[in-house]
Amino acid sequence: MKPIPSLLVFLLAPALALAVSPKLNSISPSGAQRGTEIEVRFNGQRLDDAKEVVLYTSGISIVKMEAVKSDAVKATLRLAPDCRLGEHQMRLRTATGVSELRTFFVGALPVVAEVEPNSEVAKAQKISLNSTVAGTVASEDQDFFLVTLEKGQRLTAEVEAMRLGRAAFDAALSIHDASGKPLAASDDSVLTMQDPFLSFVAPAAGDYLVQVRETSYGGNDGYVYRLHVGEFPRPSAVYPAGGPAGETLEVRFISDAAGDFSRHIKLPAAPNDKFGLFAQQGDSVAPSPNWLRISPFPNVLESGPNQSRDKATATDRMAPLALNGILTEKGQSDWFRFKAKKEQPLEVNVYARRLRSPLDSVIEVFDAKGSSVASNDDASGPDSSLKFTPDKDGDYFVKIRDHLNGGGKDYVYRIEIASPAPSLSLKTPDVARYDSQSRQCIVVPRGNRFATLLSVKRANVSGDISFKVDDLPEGVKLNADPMPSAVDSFPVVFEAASDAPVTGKLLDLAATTSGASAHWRNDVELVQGPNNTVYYATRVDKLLVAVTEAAPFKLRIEQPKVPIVQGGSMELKVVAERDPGFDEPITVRLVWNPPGVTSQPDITIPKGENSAFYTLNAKGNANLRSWKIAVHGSATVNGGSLWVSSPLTPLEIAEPFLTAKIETSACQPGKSTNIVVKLDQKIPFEGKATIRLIGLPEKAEVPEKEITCKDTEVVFPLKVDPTCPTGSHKNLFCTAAIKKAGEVIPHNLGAGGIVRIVPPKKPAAATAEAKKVAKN
Amino acid sequence: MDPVCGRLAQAVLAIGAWNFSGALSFVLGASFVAVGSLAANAAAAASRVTDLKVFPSEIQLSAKQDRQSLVVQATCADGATRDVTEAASFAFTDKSIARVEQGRVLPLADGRTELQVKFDGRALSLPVTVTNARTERPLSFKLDVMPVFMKAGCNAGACHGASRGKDGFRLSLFGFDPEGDYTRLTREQIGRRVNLALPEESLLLEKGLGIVNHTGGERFKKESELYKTLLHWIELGAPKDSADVAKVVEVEVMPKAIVLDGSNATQRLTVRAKYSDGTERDVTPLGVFISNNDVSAKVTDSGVITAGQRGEAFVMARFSTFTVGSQVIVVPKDSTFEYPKDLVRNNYIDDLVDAKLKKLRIGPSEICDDATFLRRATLDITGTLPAPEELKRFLADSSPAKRDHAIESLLNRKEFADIWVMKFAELLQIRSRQDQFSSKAALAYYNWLREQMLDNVPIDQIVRQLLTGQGSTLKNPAANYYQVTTDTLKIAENTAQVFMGMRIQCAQCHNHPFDRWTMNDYYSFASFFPQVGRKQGEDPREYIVYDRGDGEVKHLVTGKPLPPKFLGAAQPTIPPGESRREVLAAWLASPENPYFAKNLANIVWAHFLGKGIIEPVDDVRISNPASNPELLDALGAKFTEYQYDFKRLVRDICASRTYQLSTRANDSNALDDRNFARAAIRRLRAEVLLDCLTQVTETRDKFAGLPRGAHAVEIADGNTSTFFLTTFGRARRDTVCSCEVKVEPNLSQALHLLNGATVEGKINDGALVKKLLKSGKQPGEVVDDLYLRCFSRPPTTEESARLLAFLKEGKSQEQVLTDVFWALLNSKEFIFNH
Repeated sequence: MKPIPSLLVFLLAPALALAVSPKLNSISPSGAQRGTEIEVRFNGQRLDDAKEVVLYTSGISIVKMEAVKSDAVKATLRLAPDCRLGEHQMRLRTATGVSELRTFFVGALPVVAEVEPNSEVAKAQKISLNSTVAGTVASEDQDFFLVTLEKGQRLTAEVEAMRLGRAAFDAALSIHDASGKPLAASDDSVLTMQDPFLSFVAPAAGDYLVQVRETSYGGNDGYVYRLHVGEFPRPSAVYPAGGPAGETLEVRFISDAAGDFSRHIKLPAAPNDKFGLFAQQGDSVAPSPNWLRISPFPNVLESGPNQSRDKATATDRMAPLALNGILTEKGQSDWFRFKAKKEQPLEVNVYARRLRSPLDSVIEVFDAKGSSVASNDDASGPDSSLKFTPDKDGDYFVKIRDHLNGGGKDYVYRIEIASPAPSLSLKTPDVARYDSQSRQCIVVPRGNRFATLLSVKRANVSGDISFKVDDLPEGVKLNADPMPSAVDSFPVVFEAASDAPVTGKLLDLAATTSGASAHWRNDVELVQGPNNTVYYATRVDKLLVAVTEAAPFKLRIEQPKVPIVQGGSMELKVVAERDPGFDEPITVRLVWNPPGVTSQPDITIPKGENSAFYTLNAKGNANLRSWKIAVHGSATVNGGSLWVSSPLTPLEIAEPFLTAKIETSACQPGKSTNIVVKLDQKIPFEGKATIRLIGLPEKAEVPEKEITCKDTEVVFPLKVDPTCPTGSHKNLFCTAAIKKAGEVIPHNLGAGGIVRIVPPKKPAAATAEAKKVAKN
Repeated sequence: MDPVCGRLAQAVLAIGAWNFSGALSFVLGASFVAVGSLAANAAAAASRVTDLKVFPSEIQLSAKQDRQSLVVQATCADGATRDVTEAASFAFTDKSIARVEQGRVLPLADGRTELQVKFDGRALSLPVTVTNARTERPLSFKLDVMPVFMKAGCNAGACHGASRGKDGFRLSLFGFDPEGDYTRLTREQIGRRVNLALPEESLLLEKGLGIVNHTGGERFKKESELYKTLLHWIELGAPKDSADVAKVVEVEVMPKAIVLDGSNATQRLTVRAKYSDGTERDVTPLGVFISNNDVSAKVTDSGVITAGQRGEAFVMARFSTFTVGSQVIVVPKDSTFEYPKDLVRNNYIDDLVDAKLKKLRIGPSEICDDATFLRRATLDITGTLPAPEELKRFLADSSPAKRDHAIESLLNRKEFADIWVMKFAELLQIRSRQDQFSSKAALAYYNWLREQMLDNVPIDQIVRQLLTGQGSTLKNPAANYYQVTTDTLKIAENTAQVFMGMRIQCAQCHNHPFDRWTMNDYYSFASFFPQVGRKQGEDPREYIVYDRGDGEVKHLVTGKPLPPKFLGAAQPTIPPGESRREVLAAWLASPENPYFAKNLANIVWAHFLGKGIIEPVDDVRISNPASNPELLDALGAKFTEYQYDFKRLVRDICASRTYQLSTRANDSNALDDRNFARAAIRRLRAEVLLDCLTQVTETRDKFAGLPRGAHAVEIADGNTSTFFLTTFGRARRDTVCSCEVKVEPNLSQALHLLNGATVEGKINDGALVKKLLKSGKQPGEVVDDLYLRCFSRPPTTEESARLLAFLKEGKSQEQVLTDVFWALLNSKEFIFNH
């Protein structure tokens, strides 16, 4: 055995032994009571080198953490007594990667475990009121719980199942009397989607049963739920459904079984599309929030019987403003009057279903005389949105109704009227089908790079966008050019110094242009429905940037010395710098194709090799400019996929040096002819270029030719074999290998040329002669 | 346990297990009972004429060429009718107005008179009006030429009426598109089909005469009226009708009711058409005559019926877009049959069934015994078998009204609703489909239906909720009526078929060949549905159904929309913006709709009697008439009177003597299966059979979407099935057709029962025999118990003795008794309701 290679193996072994791409499948239990400490198990794969539980929210701290095995990490969580209720997002960070995002639920009530057998009325599990059951609906399972109520006592039950983000578990909830007779049932609700809740006032003192099951009596061991049973309030709506940031708002909680109630709420200082407000009465608090919109606009509340134009709730305010109301009765329409200025465009946006109101809005705007100006039904999902420009100063009306002429005490709406404002939104696009979790964090190995694509939506704004992230981990930098208006997604590269400490940080990534900015946000689809639909998603607003242990390979693009020309192609050389001993194949793909450039989905640098060529093609109309591109590549390291990327590398798109037109020609089988190609020289090139004609039928041939920058045409002598089938061939083109600075610039020229292989004509006289001969 | 075959050999000897061919000809202890066959010969008295009718009852002649054929029908004391046209004498009060020649009235001069008809001492007079006696009516393409194509068979489906025509020439099927036919005759191949220069050489005539090669052969003779009409039209220059030419608005065939006494008796028919200009014509020579039962009654081209074997037939006359018919009964000549007297009469149903049976000279079977009644009623009403204790209690009860009490208590069981939920779930096609109709929606739809039935919501209200359903398909499941299928025309067709029993599908492309429905009827009915809008809900499985307020269906031929019109009824005025579905719902499920109540009553009747009064129940059409229209009318009227309460109708049916008859045939009713003279032997439906197996073996089933222990009749989603249910012909709920449920026995059913996992598995799972023995029962008591459970009767002494003999062969008691149980479950007596 030679000493040096074995030494190398020894030195590399620890690094390679580290797992990469850790996987987190679930967190168990699914939740706990605030103000307690709890040991939680993170179940997954490749977790041996776990370093940290990354917490996206406050109120939870990690007391202790240990990696049990590669498939589990144990941690003790301390939940602060004032920890925010509901969903908390977490990931695991290891020395070599970052896991998927999973959620953990914090509740106000003590947790009891479901104990089987409780699948029959007679075997219902007795629980105390005001507790949370952590249960599972296994195959063919249904769970009964028994609670004892006083006459008139409120019993509220709410299930978190789909919202736990674990399985497509559509739960059904019902309350029964002690004999099992159903008294109330709920399957879905607008507020909590597929998860049910019920509020019930006991008609008599005694035992009552609460049942949880899958809506169609299905089930499996992954169908985990949290059932909150108690006296807490569970309003289905709040009114008004929003208010100005930073102000104190009087909010009415609606449709609770024990009646409505009001509270003064101090709204957060920053605008928020969907602010979760937990209803509280005394010490009792709802386990999940109602939703408010926090915006800078002053509130106008409906007043009086505003159900016709002449009784419209009137305001003298100009936009921006927010009109608030409830469509209490079936078939009701609500009217508002507001003032607007001539030629100042306005946007009217309804916030109803977006805030989980049952209302499916339809709005119509009228001028002072009652003529309809604009209307909309479903521009924003079930919510309505429209734009209009007043043609005179004065009064305008907006009418709102339900699409199906429904109504009810929780049909709350908020109509915001404002001038169209410049706005941006920023996210990372999905990189895999049916998967919103792959590569949504920045995981940069020390001394290496990690590229990601950012996508930006603009409204009412143009101009270059710059990306900025403050407080990056030590030794990490972001390489990002300004993103021009012409594109809506753009590559950026994070780079870590080779001595950067292994760490991770949740950061705010911002996109800015003049007049507008956006903070990075992503939706993580935790439960997917049929046909690539989503049952439950959670939103993250911080980007995790982690530095991991060094990777055994780096990637770079060999800087092309020549441009790619419109209509031409390029062989881009991608080089892998492998650590000694690492020879796994590396799959490489372009992070982004500049507009007008196409490429194959990916290429592979084969096992043990150090480079491969990536073919790019430019369309004839590709923008003439220079872009920066990057490739990223993955290799399997210890069973996980490890991703690194190249630096951003310039790519120039230039005009072709010449263009060509193939003249139409025809030829019979067994004959020959010339195909003439007219050349239009634009930029002089060096020496001779080889030109070939592509797209000929089988059994028809031309030789390759050479041209110089002086030639105005090239003639290909065509030879057609006698056995060549006849027909028209319309996809002829030429490839020319033009040289500049010693490099070849492939050109594709003269697309759409035609050659016809025609049958020979039968000479009429000859045929007649032949017949005559035959007769004789 | 022994291998199945070994046990089979033993047990079959004792009981006679399932036998494939036997299943078809299952007759319990076939002792035929002749009823009332001792009646004296009273032929002479019976043939006495009691009534005389002349058809038509009024004569209108309105052109020189008009003729009116006369039919004189005498009714005898025994109910038979005779065609006495030849024997009758005719005389006019004013002979200058009209005359009679070969049974036809011909015009002489304008004016009014009366025709005196005399026969057998009876006299009738009918008014005669003659106008335009000296003026020929101008020939019309639509009114005179088009009927020739139908009469000669040119535009039949097998000939030029095929959708692509025949041998290069196409006519619209049964003439639904006269404009198109005119174009094809005169504008295609100009000068050939119609040769104006040499009319007699027109291909139309030469082909029809068969004098040039014609695949269809000779269709008419040169001297026939058909030929003359065509020739005359071509001689006139093949003129096109003016736009205001009259339309046929009504066609009548007479006489409507015919009872022919003995084979070879004849009866001629006369067919009369009314036109939109108020005129009437005798169109007997142009009518197409069809009998639905040539064995009993054949009909000639000219409309003369000849009696054949005993039985019933419906003879139809087709003219223009109308099909009309007469009921023909053929009874054996000089029968000594006398209808039994002193029959128990439980309610109006028995009166109406008896009335029909009397006409047919068929006597009903006797009333079944108590045990049979309880088993039959329990299976029919609840889909379960009576528990042994229930049966014992019932048999011991001496109250004369005990059957009524039993019906009452069965009707109050939840299983009664389950059966009807299942039947409606089939009609509403509650079955999940990828993308369009999720299993969650199917479950919600089913549960909604179930709640309605359990709450005894009258069916008209349920139907109204369905037709007007809107909103979320998960939150308001009735809206799924428009999501199960989203095709507008299909929805219209299904609505007609489910709630009115009518199959109007044919009329999508051509006028219905055997019914009154025209394409206009079809498209104007479909016009109730094109404004139904759908949008995706927030849940991926949810759709929102609403009224869009616009949208039309285009008529296939004209390409234009038609205003909504009720099928076979008026055209409602619907203001723009109003929901058309609301208007339809208000009419459809109301007494104004002549079909609704009768159709549902027929569905209920068919469930309990094994056959509809109209059979199949969803094929109501003129050419498929009710076997007892009076009974159907009465049931429909009662159902309406009962405010569409199923329970009350079922109570009437089950309480009737007709329902309670024995399955044993007598010699007068052995061959009849349409008139409810005896009870039908019916194989249990797949779901009911499985539930009964589960019930008697004391086991539990698990079906997707239902808790363990749920019954097969409660299956919510039609997509859920098991091998057993599929083998026994469970409805797939793919279509609304009543034919989806199959109760015909077949070999794989027999094999599955004998060798499949279901029976064997359930016997093992339930371990009933073990339990019974453990409870201290003697083998004989166990046999008794098994008989009561499976057959709802104790074993006969002979059966007991033979079965108990097996116990002496030395095998374990449990094994022998388990084999007995297996054999009982495989017997015809278990598998059939009888």
